[in-house]
Parts: sequence; structure tokens; C-alpha cells
Amino acid sequence: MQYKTNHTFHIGAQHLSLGKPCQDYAQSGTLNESTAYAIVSDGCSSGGETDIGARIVALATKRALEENAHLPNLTIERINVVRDAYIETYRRTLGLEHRDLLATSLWALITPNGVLAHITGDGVLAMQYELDTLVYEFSWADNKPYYPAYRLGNIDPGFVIAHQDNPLPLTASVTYAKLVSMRGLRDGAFTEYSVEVGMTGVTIKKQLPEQDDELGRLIGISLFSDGLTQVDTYETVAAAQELTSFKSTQGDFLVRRMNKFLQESRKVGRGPIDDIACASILFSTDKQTEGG
Amino acid sequence: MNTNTTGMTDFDFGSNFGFTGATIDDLGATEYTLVTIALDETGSINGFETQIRDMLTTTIDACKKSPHSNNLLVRVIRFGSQYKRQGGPGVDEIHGFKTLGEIDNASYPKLRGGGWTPLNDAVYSSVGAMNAYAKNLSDMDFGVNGITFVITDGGENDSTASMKMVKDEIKKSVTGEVMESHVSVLIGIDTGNGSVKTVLEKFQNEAGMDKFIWAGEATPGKLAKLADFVSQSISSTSQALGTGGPSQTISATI
Repeated sequence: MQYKTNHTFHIGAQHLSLGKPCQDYAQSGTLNESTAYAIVSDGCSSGGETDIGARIVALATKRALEENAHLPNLTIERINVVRDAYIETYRRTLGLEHRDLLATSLWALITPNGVLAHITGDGVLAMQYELDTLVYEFSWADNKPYYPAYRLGNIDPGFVIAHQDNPLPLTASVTYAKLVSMRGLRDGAFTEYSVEVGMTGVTIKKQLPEQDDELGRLIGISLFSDGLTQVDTYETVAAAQELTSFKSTQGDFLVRRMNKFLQESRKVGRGPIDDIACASILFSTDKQTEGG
Repeated sequence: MNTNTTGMTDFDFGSNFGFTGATIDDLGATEYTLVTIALDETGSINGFETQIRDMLTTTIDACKKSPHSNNLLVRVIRFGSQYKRQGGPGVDEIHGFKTLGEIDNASYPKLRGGGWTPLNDAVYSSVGAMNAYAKNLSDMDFGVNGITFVITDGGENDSTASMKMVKDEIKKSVTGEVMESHVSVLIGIDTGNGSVKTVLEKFQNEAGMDKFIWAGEATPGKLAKLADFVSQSISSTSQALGTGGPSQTISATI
């Protein structure tokens, strides 16, 4: 199995006009011939210095994956515990407060055992198959997602209270991209989660090689911050499709695709309103991975 | 389109015209400014060969110091009827589109003036190759703009390409479909064989080239200024990349 990884992040129109920094961040890479990762983190706009927070969360996740991805009995909990330990170390070293670290944590790991993706907070996961793309969208009620730093700062109770009127505040929808574009339907499934379940994060696992009867072979996986859901004039699924329609998989393939997408989206609207970050892993076995 | 062992790919366009460009899969940046410099090597530049070559190497050196040097792909051609082969164009590619890091000034050949002036071929090859290469880059999501300089001391008198072919390629280069922007500059130099300023002005207008610059006498001082102009123009074009428009600082005089 060979992997190609790339990541990019871009400031949205809102932060640009307000003179705020981009609060999204992404990382990607390979750890060895059979292991690749993608990470996305989205800082909370009403938090502290969450541009730094998003970077710390992403880089702490990267360290956790680097140190643990090879373990035969790897668990989600192990990755997140190590991630959180690094977040705390970095926070103390830099003299930051927990409100500076309010940022989502989305990560995906590909190993010979399969695909492991974990979402804490909100955002989008796109799984590209040969014949279609499955778009998973995770959103919290009132746009109040859970951040790992809530637990680290012992401010979990406040988060629970914020969602006390909604027994199922986290929604995960799964959409078949082509079915939407072909039939104009949101032909997917919705799952709702309680606040307690949402706080532990949502995990998606796939065995490799993943071969679906209708979708064909799994060829790539991409993570996006929720900025993908706020691109002017674009539906989330359409934006995901555009950003994963790679014309080439060489070099900075995702950066180029993002740059083109930004140009195109600004011809028909304001482009991304919120900051946007994404990270992709493309994999191939016997032939070159090409999309779009 | 064929990839050779030197990291360059061969391309064809039109009929009988070809060029080489860095293999796109090997390119590391996400956006590029394409630059073509076409040098007159006809009989009338006799005695000025060294100065013109020095102008070229000074330009390349200056580009290497540009903050956007990693985003430039430069092609250099020379033209004169001595390069015609079996009815082909009077153009010789010294090197195709390649990064500055791969250009060694010492490897530029000595120019030897001879033959007639296939100016149509020079402009057609310059702009046509840029259009074709830019299309390939754009199709792979690279951001692309371009600037073309054709430096000559004589008017068209021996081309295989027609004026219509030249006009069509220039028109295509500025539609925004293949390149974000493209500027074409015709530069006239006076080598003492009678001023061709009026002839070249007419050519620029008819072909639809963006600018005509009359550099005057081909003295070392003037050619040094010309090198400065070309490198500054390249720099401002690369700075404009991503803005959607052409550079605004290309001076009409040297």
C-alpha cells in the first residue's frame, strides 16, 4: 500500500474582515510505508488564542500518533490520552489558559489493520471510493461543539449544562455524494448522539482493503473543519466533492485543489465564510490513485 | 507528450512547433509564472552577440535573487532563418520551461548572428508554447500566469507561422482560460542597421502584443538597463500571481 498525503488551511471571509487570524490548522504525513495520518483542528471563535490552540491540539495529536500508531493493540483512548497529555504540557510551557485551547480534534490513521478515524467536535469526513464519495458531517446543536480542552480544564459540567435542553445535540449525517448530485436528494442516514457520547467522540473504522459492492474500492480519506459547511453558495457535499476532485496526486495536490476551489468559489460567491482546513490521505494498491 | 531522462517533457503544438517543459509531476510549488525570452540571432546582430548574451545572463541572475524565484519557470529561445529545417520554423530552443535552480548561466551558448528574421515564428513559438504548457499546468490545478519578451532588431521577413497564427495565440493567452494573465512584450534594439522602430510598432499593434519597448542603441549600458527592465517585469508578474490580474508595474520605457 502506498500513501500520498497533503494538508492545507485557509482563513475565511469573516476572520479576514475582522482582522483575526485563521483559527484552523491541519497536518498530514506518513509514519512508515504502511502508516499514514491526517489531522484537522478548528479553534473556537469565542475562545482565547485558539489559533495557537488549534495548532497545539493538532501537533499534540501528531505526537500521539507518531508514538502509538505502531502498537498492535492500539486504541482510540490511548491516542487521545497521549494527545491530551501533550496538550497540557504545551499549554503549561507556553503559559496559556484552557480557553486558548478550545479547538476540535479530528484525526484519521491508516495502518495495515485498516482506517481509524475519530472526531471530537464538529467537521466533515469524506471517504472516497472508486464510484462515489461518502460524506460524513458532524454538527453540534447551536454550533457549540465539544473540545478536548473542556475536559482538561475541568469545564465539562458547563458544556453539559449548555446542552441540557437537547438530549441528542450531536448529529452525524452520511451522504452519498453522487446520489445527491444525480438525484438532488439528501439520500443519507442520520444518527443523533447524547451529549455524553458526543464528548467521547465518534469513531469510524474500516478494514483494508475496503471493497464495497456498490462503491468499489476505497481510494482516499479526507478530513475537513466545519468551514467546509460554510462556503458561500456551496452545499457541504458539493464542496467536499470539489475539494477531493484531484487533478493530480503529485506534490501539494490538496493545496492546489484548495487554491483552485477558492478561486472558483469566489467567482460565484464570497467563498469560505469561516476558516477552512483539510487533510487528505490517498492510497493505492495496484494503480495510480486519480480522482475527478 | 513524452518525458525524457532529464526531467523535461516534450510537447508539440500547432504544426511543426514543439517545446520542452519541466515534468509537471516533479514540480514542487503550487503556482508558477511562466517566462519566455526570445532572442534575435539574425545576421544584423553581428558584433552585438556578446552584449545580448550578457543581457540574458544578467536577467537570469537577477531573477534568481527574486523572492519568487522558486515560482518561475523560464524558457529561452533564439530565432533566425538558419534554424529552419525542412520547412520548419526558424526557432531554436536553448532550454525549455525550467526552474531557475536548473539553469546554469555558463551553459548558454555564444550567439552567432546569421540569417533572416522569422519574427512571426519567434512570437508564435513563445506564446504558443506558453499557452500549451500553461494549459497542462492549469489542468493539474496549478495557478499560472506568464510574461513573454521577444527581443529583436529587425522586422518579420522569413517565417512559417502567419500573422493570423500569431494573433490567435496571443488572443488565446489573455482570455483567462489558460493563464490567469499574460503580458507579451516586443523589445526593439538598434544595432545600427537602420531604425526598425516604426516597423516593430506596426508589428506589435497588428499582432496584438501588449507592449512595445524601444530600447534604442544596443550599447552595453542600454542592454544592462534592458536586463533590469526584464527582470523587474518578471518579478512584478510573479507578485501578481494569484490576484487574478496582470502586474501593474511594467514600465513602457527603459
